Amino acid sequence: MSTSRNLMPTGKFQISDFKFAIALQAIALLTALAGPGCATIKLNLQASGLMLAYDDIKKERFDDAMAEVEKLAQRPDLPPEVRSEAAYVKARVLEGQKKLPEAIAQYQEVVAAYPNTPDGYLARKRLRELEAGKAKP
Amino acid sequence: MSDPKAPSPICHLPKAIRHPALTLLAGLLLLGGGCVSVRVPVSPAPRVDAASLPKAEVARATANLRVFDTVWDQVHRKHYDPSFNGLDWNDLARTYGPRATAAVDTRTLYQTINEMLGRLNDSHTAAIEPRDASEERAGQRAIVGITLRRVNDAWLIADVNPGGAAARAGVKPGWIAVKRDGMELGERYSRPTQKPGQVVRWEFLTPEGQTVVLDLEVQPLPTARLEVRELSGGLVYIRFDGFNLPATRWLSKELERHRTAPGIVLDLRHNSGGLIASALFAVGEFFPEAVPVFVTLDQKGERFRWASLMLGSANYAGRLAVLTGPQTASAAEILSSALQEKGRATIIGRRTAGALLAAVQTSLPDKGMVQISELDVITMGGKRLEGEGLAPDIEIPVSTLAQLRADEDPELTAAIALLSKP
Repeated sequence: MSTSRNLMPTGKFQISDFKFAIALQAIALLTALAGPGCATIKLNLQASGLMLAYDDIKKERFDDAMAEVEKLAQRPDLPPEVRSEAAYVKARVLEGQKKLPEAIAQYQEVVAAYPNTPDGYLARKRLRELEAGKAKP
Repeated sequence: MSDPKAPSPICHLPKAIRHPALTLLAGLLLLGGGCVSVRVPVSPAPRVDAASLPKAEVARATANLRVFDTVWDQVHRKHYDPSFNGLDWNDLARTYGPRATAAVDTRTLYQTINEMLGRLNDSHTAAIEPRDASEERAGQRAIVGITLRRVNDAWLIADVNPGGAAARAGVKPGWIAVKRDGMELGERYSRPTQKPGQVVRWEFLTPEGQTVVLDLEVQPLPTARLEVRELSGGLVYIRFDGFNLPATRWLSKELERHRTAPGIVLDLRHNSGGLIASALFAVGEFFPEAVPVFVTLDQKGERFRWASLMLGSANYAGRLAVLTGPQTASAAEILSSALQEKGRATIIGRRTAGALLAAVQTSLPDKGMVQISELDVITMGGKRLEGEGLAPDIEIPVSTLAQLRADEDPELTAAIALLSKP
């Protein structure tokens, strides 16, 4: 069918209730303590260092954020998705600290080390924005 | 000491409910679903000039403007792209607001709003007319059960819903739909308003050149079709056309029932997406442990990593082939990409729709709905599929008319061949 409405997917990817979806993730964590879900629990606990870093970035406490990221990066048991995200967050923190050449180098390192990850994608995008000079500080 | 004149830290509540107990209640309401104060959205579109219009037109124009304002405001506050695709969102209100206000009927109003939303160039942001919104909420659509596809300047029947009036009357894929209630379908046909119980006269042309005229009764049919059948060699074919929680439960039960099958063909060619939670449950069916599936980013750049859900998973461990095509969209692209990126399945068919953003639906004052893409989506493989789609591992050219009419399915044939290999 050819209406503009139907050119779009009819089922959509919806969050009919975003909070419900978040709650589902939380339930998945809490109920999966035994068995295979343990991996998820572990992953999220490890990611908590990242959450602290994000909070510090939001509050412009970039030195604290860097400390969190570096502490996280030293852990040997990080899952790959957390390791790549930590590397990307480090670049963002360097930008926040106004260390632009170091930030660019870190983004480039993320692209090289983690090309097929969300962080590789975001680092490439950020590098393009910085090149175009339209990056927000 | 707090300043008694300062507004509540939770929310700007009316003075009457600043009692501590009521404040606590208001706080709980906030956790449940948002601020209790009513916010009337107003866009920069010009207001209705009541003096220059007849009374009936003022009422319509005012109602139209309320719908327009709500859509404009919701997009302004929530759309994932803070640059609005490089557009001046205020300017668009000044351009489209007067046209929406002057719309003579619902269809024209929604066409105008969708023209404005189309400028955002995203696959999910759209205003949905009250009729379609009601069908969407019910998960059912009043139809006769045929899916039309434009092929060689004709409307080809690509699929017939087995539960519908068309299937009962013997309509087959590969026929051409020519007229509906005596009217040629035309190049830009779209399904008109129809009600359950209504009888529609369809005129078809069979591959043998015979004209068939049938009176078909419109009936509510589920928007998500579910189908399972056994194939040769113990393989199993599973098709589901939408992601909702009943469909995911059905999928889980079927996978549990066929857990010893050596291979499963998952047909997502007609699956246009659905709920995030449902997609996460579906991914969870195929892995022994929870896996990260995708990352989302909102208007402020806030990031969230979504993992598969394992509750009640059938944990199917056999081989897997997934059929995709240009109608495979949204949540179906999430499932396909997760299975492909983790090497869990071979994707066979054609490139997917490239319609992958996370959207939220909000009711409008006239019982219509606006759906707004609030989150951008990046797969764990670092791909943004919106506007790009997912390339299959094995590409199969589009079926010819002759193949469709001979009931051949080259994509399914390729999947069976792949899964039958030792």
